[in-house]
Amino acid sequence: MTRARVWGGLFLCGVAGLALAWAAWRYAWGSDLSAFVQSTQRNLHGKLAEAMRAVRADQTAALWNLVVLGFGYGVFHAVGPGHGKFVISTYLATTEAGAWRGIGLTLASSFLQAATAIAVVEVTVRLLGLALRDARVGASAIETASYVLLALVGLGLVVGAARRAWRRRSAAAHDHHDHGTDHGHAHGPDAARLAAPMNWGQAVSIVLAVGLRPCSGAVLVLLFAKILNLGLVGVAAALAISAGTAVTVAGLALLAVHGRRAALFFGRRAGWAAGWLALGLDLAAVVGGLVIVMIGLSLFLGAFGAIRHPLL
Amino acid sequence: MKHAIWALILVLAVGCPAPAGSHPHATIDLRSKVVFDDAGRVVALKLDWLFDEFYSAYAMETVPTDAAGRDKGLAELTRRNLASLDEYKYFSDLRLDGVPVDIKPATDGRSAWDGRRLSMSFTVPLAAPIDPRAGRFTFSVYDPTYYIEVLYLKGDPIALMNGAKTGCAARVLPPNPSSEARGLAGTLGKDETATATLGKLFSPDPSTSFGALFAETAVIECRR
Repeated sequence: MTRARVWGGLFLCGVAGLALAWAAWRYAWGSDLSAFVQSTQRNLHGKLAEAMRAVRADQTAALWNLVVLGFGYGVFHAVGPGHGKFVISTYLATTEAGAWRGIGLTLASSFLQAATAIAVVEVTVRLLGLALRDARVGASAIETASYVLLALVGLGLVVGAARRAWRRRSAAAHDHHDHGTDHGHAHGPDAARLAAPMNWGQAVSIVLAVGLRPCSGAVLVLLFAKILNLGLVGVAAALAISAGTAVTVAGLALLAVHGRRAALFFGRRAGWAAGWLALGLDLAAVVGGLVIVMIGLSLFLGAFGAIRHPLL
Repeated sequence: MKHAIWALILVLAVGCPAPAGSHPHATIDLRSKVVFDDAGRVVALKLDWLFDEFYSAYAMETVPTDAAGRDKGLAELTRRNLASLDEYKYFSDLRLDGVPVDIKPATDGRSAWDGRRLSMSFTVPLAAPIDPRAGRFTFSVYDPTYYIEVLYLKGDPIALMNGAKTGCAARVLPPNPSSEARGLAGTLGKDETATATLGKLFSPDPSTSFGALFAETAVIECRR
């Protein structure tokens, strides 16, 4: 990690931190920010329907308008809490993954969500000729499966971190003279190995756990397009929405990646031994993983309760 | 280490877990009327919900498109909607000095389709008449799950029926988690995520829900 990159990361974190502090402050002392996000989202949602009608009236010109509106709607739609964001940020904050991999993870899960929505609508409306109302059984089965996967991802984080911590302990018992004597000069490989390496199996299961749930906003947009006889335009709108949500979540992913790097940089500077830093990350992975397991299980049990929304 | 922990707290705080799907996916433009009796007491609320185009399309999917079938289909849709909303008190939260006010099953349900948007109007009778001078009478209409965002139609004030001579006026307070709405919601200190983590997507007390946080509150103020 070069010095420039570290300062770049710190700058990013500083900006994000300030924005967060401001948001928290506004939220606590008047809901200007949440009201802004709320009303912008509502406006864009309304305009999206208008744009789709315009596309039907005169095809190509209004299409760009629709894509831009969908994108903007996605950006604002993704602001706010959600378990997908929690999983991705916990994983990136405790795993040795670069910014690009973080963005890749985000894009993959966002687009998978759009793809699931497209598949659900196509299969039920076109292939089975059913009303979307009837498709909820299939959709909720997919959702339930994704909750199980979510709990397993959390469990994977916990077990992985615990095993790493254990291995390091036994390794340290053999050669603890090698560590602790190397302050002051850079040594890349060891720094990179502080956090767990990115694991493809884990990355794929995160993408599936987050992305398998069909985005319910996209489902409504797709259905609307079907009714207007705008099949592919609906797909374009759904993809634009997921691109927008990906941008918001990617911002969070970058914050997680740079937050981890900054924390390690400062930790090293403060003279913390590499072993302790690694243990800190593992500990965070265990805590975050346990929270994810809890979320997954509670959503899973909630899905069994299957209390249907009164208006769906 | 300390920094690592702080950075993680920051990151975890941003991605704070609220698994209850906390983004609105549909919207309702709300209009309401407060019905007074001759003694100047509130006896009912008349609510008019205008759904967004996407949700409207979804709901109209089961309604036939021919004129005769449509009327029947809309009546059936109204019946079904009101029957399932009964358990949720029609998303309405009426309070006198913060104490919930009992309501009776909705009447006069009617749905209409204007070619783009679906609307549903109905009357929510109070179990017993309420004297708005006896305390602070407020009501909010919100989906506790926040799947549907309910907000007043801009520039459309709350109407008072038979209430002109009562000296009462209605005012809509914006969603504000920190001040008046918090007083109304009572126990917002209870963490929403804690409720949701228990798998209670529909918590028994809707005023502690996520939807309540973003709900507008109507307050009836009367000259004494």
